[in-house]
Amino acid sequence: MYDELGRFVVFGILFSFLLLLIAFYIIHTKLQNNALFASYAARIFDFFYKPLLMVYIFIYKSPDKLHAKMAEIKNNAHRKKFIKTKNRIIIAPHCMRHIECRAKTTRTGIQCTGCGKCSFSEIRKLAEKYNYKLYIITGSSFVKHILKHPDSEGTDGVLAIGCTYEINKGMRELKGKNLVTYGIPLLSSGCYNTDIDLEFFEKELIYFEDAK
Amino acid sequence: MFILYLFYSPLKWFLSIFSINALFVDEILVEIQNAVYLEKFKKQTERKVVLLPQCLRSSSCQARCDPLFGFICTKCGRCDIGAIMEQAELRGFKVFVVPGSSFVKKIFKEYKPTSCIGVACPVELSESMQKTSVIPSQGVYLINDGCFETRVSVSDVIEKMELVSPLKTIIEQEKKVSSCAESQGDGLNV
Repeated sequence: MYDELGRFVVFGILFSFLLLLIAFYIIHTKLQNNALFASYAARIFDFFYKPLLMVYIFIYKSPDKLHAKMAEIKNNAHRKKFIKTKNRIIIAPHCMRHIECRAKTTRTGIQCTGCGKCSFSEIRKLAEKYNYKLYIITGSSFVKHILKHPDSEGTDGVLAIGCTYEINKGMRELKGKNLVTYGIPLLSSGCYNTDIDLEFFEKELIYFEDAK
Repeated sequence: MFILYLFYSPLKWFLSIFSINALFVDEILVEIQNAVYLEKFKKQTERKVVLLPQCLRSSSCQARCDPLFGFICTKCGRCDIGAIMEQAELRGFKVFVVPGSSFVKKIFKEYKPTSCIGVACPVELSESMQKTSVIPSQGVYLINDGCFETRVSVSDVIEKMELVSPLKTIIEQEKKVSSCAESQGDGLNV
């Protein structure tokens, strides 16, 4: 009996290594641009997330590379589905605000007054132009408040701005909820005075608008 | 702990099938990490920090955010942070109210703490404790998550602080120091 159990465990370990090898092969070749392969790799990486995190911390001393790669392949996997969505919202982090931001926080996030100190006034204009609802949230578990709120009913696409770690976490949480997520990474992490590449952001919005 | 890391995502998926709260896994992971680092944590007496999340703040908080220290609490009494800060100062802890999890990295670089107490929602906590595993840490999770006007049981945080520096011994030490100073003063007078 123990003999069989041992065989089963060894087989399981070998099998998971095989799956991981295929996933690594995908992310290092052009196959990662294919939605099908990318979604396969994303699933595998999600499944082995914690052990991989351990390995990355051990080798690189920081898990940023893993998060960046995972966000990239998830974007590749979701791009085509995101084009088909109709009611989209943008979720942005509070750390992009100006230091002296005086905006109030409510159940639907931070209420931007559009004072022009940070890039949110620009983002707000872009969001209105391309029919997105903009929510500025104070943390990743705020997302569930927003999705519950009647204002955001019928949402099927979430464009998430954030550091790659938060994008990953948000995507993992929203996976089983009939939502398509797409991430726009911040230029720097650190939860303080962060910013995004506005030109790149607008390009992505135009891309999704044209492809509709 | 290693086994739980290995089966983290499968377990969550498994629990969600039976509609059990998947945060359960994170809570167990935090408890195990607490137990693993407990002995080391008790030995650390210098450069202790308490990391609090910004969502503990009241919605009408007017505190300024500093690039190095996070939010600078004015102890206005609208949220629990002030109470925790007072207790922490008595016990020689430094309190940081961080705006997000990647701010922790900055604090580690600048302040170089030797032990820390983290307060956060279970998901965030299990992740951060894995990242900060270079120093002994203890985690306390929030009563409700949602990143907005969350609460934490203050007594739990104080309990964690008591582990390293019980208030009684500190008061006794202070008394000793002050009595020493008095006797020295007497000596000088004579």
